[in-house]
Amino acid sequence: MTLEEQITLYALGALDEREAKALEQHLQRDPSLRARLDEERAAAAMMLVVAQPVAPSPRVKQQLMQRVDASLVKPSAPAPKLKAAAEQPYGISLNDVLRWLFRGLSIAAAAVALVLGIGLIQTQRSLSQLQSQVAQLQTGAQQAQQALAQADARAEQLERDLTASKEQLTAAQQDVAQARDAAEAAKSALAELQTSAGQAQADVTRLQTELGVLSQADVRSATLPANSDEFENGAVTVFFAPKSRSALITVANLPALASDQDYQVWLIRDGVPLPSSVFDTAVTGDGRLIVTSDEPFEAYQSVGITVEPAGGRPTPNPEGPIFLGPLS
Amino acid sequence: MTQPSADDQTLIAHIARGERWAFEALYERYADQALGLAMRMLRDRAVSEDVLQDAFWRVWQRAAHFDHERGNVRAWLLTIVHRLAIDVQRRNMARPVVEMDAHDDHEWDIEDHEADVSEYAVASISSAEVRKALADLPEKHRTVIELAYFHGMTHREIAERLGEPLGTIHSRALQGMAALKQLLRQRV
Repeated sequence: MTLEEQITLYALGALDEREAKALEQHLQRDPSLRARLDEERAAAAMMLVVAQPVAPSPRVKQQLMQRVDASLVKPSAPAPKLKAAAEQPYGISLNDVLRWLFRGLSIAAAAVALVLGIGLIQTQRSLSQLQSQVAQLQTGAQQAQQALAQADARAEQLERDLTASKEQLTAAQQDVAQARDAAEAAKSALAELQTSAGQAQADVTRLQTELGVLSQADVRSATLPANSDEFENGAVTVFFAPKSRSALITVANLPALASDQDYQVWLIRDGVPLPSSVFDTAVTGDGRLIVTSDEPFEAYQSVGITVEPAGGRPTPNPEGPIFLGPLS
Repeated sequence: MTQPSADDQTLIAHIARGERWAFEALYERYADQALGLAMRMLRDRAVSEDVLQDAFWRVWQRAAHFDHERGNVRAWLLTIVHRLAIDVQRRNMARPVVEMDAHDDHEWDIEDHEADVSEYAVASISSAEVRKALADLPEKHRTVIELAYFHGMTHREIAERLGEPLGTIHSRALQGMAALKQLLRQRV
């Protein structure tokens, strides 16, 4: 940075403290640099008058004049003179008596008066300074009060905003809760519908299977007679095609079993009962059952129904079938 | 006792003798202009009015030191306002501040000297002429000298704020000031 630049920046107040100190040393040594600085300062000073005038508030003048008044030391009032004494019978005035009485004390009194006078002036100065400080403190207090009032107003506004925000938040939370409840209800309804649809689909599949058995060209039926008096009101019919591996068994009027028992179908081939489907009956004792086998049904000579423990078992109940009949 | 028509130097002489009316008259004469300068620099009315009050208070205290044979009262007052406003800005920017109360008499002489060199600028050129001269400057040049003179920023702070190299800032300051000096030479 050249000296020329430094002087310009110095006149504008744009040098930092260290740079300014360094330049001031040059200025002290070189009058031509100081003349240069004066010209720069004069140019910069033109900007002092560039601002538009702004009227100050009356408070400024009022406070300023209070400071001025406080700084003025008012002269003390002159001491009142003693009134002339009344005439005395011996031609001696009261002033004469006082003068005699206090003549010896006059020098000491003057000294005391001087000390008191100095003290009075000092006190007045202190009072002026205190008044000035009081005026400044009053100004500060007014400004602090205004700032406090503004802060209070701002705090109230924030409190109102906060209350409004809380109310909005509560309303939003209620909306969210309602929406969540609605979503849960919709989800439950959908699950129920899916369950119903699944059941309907299963029913359709089962009916299609049953229809498939019954619609075969060579479908036959065999009624299984009851093999026990207890089940004589029941009816069991087997619909099958000889070449098919699926058969439909319809039952009616079968009594309900204990909860730990099931009915079980047995396919009998060459005198050997082979375990097949296990079923329960509805309250009415009626029902339809699709039975599948590894072999075409022409391989089996007869079909039996037994009562077995729940879930069935691989060998038939030794008490024998409750229904038994040939597939003919 | 009031003498509203008294010139500035007469007023300052009376103020030096502690005459309240003269001080009030000087305030009425220049308070608006002084506050305008402070507001231009500080942008805050309350702070600017504090500066205004402090500046006039210093005039009241220092009137006896003012050389009324050579000085210009308005330039002296505005220089005080400028210095006080710069101090406020530096306090706000947490940079070293030279308190005016801490100045000894020698430094006050420097202050008065600043007012002296400002005198012929302030006295001989109207506000409108200076505004026009500033308005005629390229905006980038005007910005640099205003940030320095009115906002108390150093050349490095200006460079950082404007995102320009230091050399560019120096160049703009020189060219801006050259235009102002040209106007001054035409008038003086």
